Amino acid sequence: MARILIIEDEDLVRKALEFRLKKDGHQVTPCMDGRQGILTLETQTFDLIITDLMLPYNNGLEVVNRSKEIHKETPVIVLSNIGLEHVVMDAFNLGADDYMTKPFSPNELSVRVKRLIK
Amino acid sequence: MLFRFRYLLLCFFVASAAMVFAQQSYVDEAAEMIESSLNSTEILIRVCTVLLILFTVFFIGFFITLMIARSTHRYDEQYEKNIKEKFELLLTGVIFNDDAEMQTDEWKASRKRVVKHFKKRYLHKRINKKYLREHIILLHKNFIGSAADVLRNLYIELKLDRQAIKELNSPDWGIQANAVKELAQLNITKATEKIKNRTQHENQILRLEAQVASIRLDKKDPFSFLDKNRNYLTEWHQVNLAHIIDQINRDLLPDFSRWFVSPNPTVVEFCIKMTLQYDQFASIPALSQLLYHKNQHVVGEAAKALGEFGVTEAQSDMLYVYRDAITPVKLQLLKAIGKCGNNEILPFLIQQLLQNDINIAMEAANSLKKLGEEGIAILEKQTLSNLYGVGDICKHVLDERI
Repeated sequence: MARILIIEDEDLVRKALEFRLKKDGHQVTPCMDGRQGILTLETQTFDLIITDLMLPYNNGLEVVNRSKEIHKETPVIVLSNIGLEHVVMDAFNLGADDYMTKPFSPNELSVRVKRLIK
Repeated sequence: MLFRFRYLLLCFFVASAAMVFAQQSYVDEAAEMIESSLNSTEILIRVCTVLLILFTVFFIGFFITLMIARSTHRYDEQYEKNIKEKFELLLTGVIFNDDAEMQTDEWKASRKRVVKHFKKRYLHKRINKKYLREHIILLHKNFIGSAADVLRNLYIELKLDRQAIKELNSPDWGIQANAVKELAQLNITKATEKIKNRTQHENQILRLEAQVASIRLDKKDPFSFLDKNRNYLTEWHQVNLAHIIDQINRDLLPDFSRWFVSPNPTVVEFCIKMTLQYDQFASIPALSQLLYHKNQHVVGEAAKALGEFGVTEAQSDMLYVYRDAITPVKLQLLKAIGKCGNNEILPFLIQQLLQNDINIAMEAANSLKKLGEEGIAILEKQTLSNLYGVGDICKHVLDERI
């Protein structure tokens, strides 16, 4: 069982991901914006962070940056509906470990989570 | 809608109650008392008293209405929250399972039971169906694979598509546009013909949604709406169409030169852009013909495409149409010549470089540079020119730092 932080502003998508990851046996902490996400990862430790890119207050790239400053080893998956090369490159340059473009398959996410937690 | 109905009902009850009370005797006595007091006072005081009573009644009525409206709104909000939570549970429970798990008889039976329960318990209300449709659409936009398939099947199984198809007949274009978008998102092909009927609608947004949906849903002739399109295709409209075309299978793309003869110049412009975007080299002869089109924007767009394709044979046609072209099109022609021209065009470019128009001179200089060594040699020679601005333009274009 891994501790996973999900930062996603779309209520329904966040709840759906939470449901799916809990079903896979993980302990999930949901956050609805970048600011809350950064505050959570500053006070708690996680085995994996899943963040959306377009978030209120602090965007996903800021979350990746802060996460890598605090817990360098914690893998981060970025979810986004922007598949532009420079955006993906920015995320990877900041230290993101994986990038998934929306719409995505929940089964695929589940497999990627398992791979990164290993 | 529900709120308005309740509100009207409450107003009706309040009015009825007021009428019943008005018939009672103590109200009559009070009225007599007020009347007698009014009779015994001066006119100004009488008017003030009447106004005071009227305002008091009005404010009490207003306050009651406000309270009723607030409580009804609060009830509706709470109802919406509760029902949405239930739908979230249904959807997440139904779609987020492993593929293998979803094949088991136990899972299928359990899903059937849950869906039946929801259908019976919640989906008799139109508003609930609307909430569920919103949820399904939102999730369908975010997920692909088996999850998206399950959502689509659930949507059809709960007959939510019927409601969306019915909404296509709404007099409100906004409702129609949302229904079109929804049906396209969930790939409900049976609505294709109805949607295609809206591709020439007078409302721009509905027209765009219907055209986008037509590209997604119509498997036989998804671009047939371009045949009869008489409306101006704005840049925004073209961007949206291009975005959806980018998502479909390349093998399904038509030969866009089919619409080069369209009476609508914006359709021709759009099709030239698509020809270039998808490297439809077979359209080059038709593109060259478009240099003689009566619409200057089409000429400019055709020149741009020919330049990008590097069609040197089009150089003489470009020269021919250059003289009568408007300035922005002249600039596009010069740019295209720089990309597809050869050394035969050098004297013409020198002539343009020496023009009084700074934009034309600049574009001619850029094209000379693109033509290679001979063009660059001419530019270097012209840096010493005494003509006003020519030397500076040449130096600017030759400066590698810029």
